[in-house]
Amino acid sequence: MEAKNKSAWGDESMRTQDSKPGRYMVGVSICDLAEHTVRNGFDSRSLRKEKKSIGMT
Amino acid sequence: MKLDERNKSIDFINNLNLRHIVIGAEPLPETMRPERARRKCLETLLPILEKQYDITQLFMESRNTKQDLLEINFIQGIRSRGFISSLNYQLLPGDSDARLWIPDQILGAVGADDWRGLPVKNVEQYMITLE
Repeated sequence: MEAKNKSAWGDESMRTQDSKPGRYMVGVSICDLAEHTVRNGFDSRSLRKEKKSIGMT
Repeated sequence: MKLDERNKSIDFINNLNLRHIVIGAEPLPETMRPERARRKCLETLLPILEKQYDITQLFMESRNTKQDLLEINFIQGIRSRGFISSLNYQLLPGDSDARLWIPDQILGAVGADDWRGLPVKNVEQYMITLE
C-alpha cells in the first residue's frame, strides 16, 4: 500500500521588545486540507491583506 | 488587526482541528543574526516532524532569493548529517497557498503579548535556549 503524504505548512515570526530578550519562532500546522477549503473558510479579507494587517510581510 | 478579527481567525483555525507545532528560540540579543536562530529552530523542528508526526512534506514561506538559497543548502546539510531522511522541504511564496496563512495566525496568537488568553487549540511548543 502506498504511504499517504502528510504535509505541514510553516511560517516564522520574530519578536523584539525594548528591555526584553527577543524570541524567534518557527511554527507549522499539520494540514491535509485542500487549499480552497482554507481560503473559502475564512473569507473576510484576502490572505495578503490579512498578513499585512498584523504587520507581517 | 482588530480583536474580533483575531478571534474570528483563531476560531476558524480551531474548528479545523489541526495540530500545530511551534519552536521558539531565545534569548535573541540584537547582536545575534536571526538566521542563526532560524536554523536552530529548523534543526529541532524537522526531525520532530519526520520522526514523531510522519510528515512527508513541509512547505515553508519563502523569503528573498539569497535567504532561500542559503536555507536550501542548510536543509541539505542537516539531511546529510542524518537529522532527516525522507522529509521533502519546499519554499513557497506566502500568498501562493491559503494553508500558509494558518501558521502565520498561530504564531501571531502564540507570540504576541496582547493575544495571550486566546484559546488556540492543539499547539505544542518547544523552547530552545540560544547560547
